[in-house]
Amino acid sequence: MTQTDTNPSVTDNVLSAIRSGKTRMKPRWHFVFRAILVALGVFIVSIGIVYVASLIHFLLRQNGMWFAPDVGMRGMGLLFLSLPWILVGSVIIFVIILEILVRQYAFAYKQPLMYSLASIVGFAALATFVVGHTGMHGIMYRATREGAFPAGVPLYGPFPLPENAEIHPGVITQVTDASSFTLERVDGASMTVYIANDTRIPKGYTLKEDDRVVVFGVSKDTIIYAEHIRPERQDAFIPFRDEERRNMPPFSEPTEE
Amino acid sequence: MEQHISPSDEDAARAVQHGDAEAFAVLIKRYEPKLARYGRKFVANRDDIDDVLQDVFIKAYEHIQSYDSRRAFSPWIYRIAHNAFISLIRKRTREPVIPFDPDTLFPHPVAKETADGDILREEIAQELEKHLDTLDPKYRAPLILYYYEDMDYKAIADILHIPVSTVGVRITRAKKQLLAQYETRHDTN
Repeated sequence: MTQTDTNPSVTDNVLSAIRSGKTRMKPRWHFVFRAILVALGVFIVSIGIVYVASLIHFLLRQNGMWFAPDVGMRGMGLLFLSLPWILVGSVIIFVIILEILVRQYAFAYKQPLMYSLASIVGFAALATFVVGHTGMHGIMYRATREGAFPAGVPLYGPFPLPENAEIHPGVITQVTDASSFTLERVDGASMTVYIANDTRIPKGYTLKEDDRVVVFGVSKDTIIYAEHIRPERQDAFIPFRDEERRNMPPFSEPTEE
Repeated sequence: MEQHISPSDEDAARAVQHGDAEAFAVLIKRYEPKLARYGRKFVANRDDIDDVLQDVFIKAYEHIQSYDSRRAFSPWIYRIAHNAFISLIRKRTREPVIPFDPDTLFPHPVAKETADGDILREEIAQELEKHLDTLDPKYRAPLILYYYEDMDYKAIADILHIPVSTVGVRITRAKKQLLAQYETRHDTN
């Protein structure tokens, strides 16, 4: 059944093509160069994933949506609806590209796709967490606001707080009395927050000036009726402080040609 | 008459990498019948197989510097041949390329490779020969490599660029498909 003889025409044709120089061996550097390109691609796409994923995290903290799940299922829904889908789509595309690139390596293709995908997602989550703590996006955000980084406007430019989202991140600028305070929101709006008897505030927490808080509650004009107030870390978001705003030129929207 | 100790595939490939084009003849002589036999399981026409094989060996020569001589040569050349035959089938059937196969997505328990004894393995191979063409190439390839080319799961994984556990899954599914066809045929008879 098995054929053991070689086909002379195939052998002869191939050997004569080699001997005549019609078929030439590609040099080793060609493959080394290709391997370097793939490795470089893996590196660049990985950086892209980390950058965009950490930017999403930064933007969601900045507009308060990151804290929305604290108010339960309604908040989860709000967070989902306010996700920057173009950026989320970019991360997904980057992950697919990275998966395709790493599948060329034996350590990846010999394992189920789920493992390499989980490794990529795990790496992205960890790197996003690390980058989030470096304050890199905060620096770029401030630089954009100060006009020192005009290229950053599309990413770090003014982004309105979601309408009717009932989530207000900001800094306490004045504690008027036990039932109200003034909040300067991250978008620069000055709001008066009213605290009711049933407003939820963590036990033992006392409102102080310069504290960063997220206020959950219905707003009307410049008034917020607080349902829940949550103190946040100093680096949770970057407030639009008065003294900074005075020194800053207004944002200029990118102009269309 | 001068007697030569036949070099291993890897030594011959290394010699080609160092500029000994004649050493490539040794590799062609060894692999042309094996790859032709492999190709016959995908393509019926002998001329088509010869054309593909010619391209395979030319491509192998052009890319020989990408071969890592610390690894086995056989999976490397089989991979080139496999891609060439699958590409020919796809061209003819206009089958779309699916980037991710669901079989490769999740981990599967790896079936023991020695599950079939040698005699049984030969019997299975003979029986398979009659019905191979009814199988999807995706299932056909690992079955052929395992039963006809005597390759282990690891080598098959290297040729097909799929997880080792998926090789086992595809072989098992292919056998089940063939068994179902066999039973249907016998029931109707």
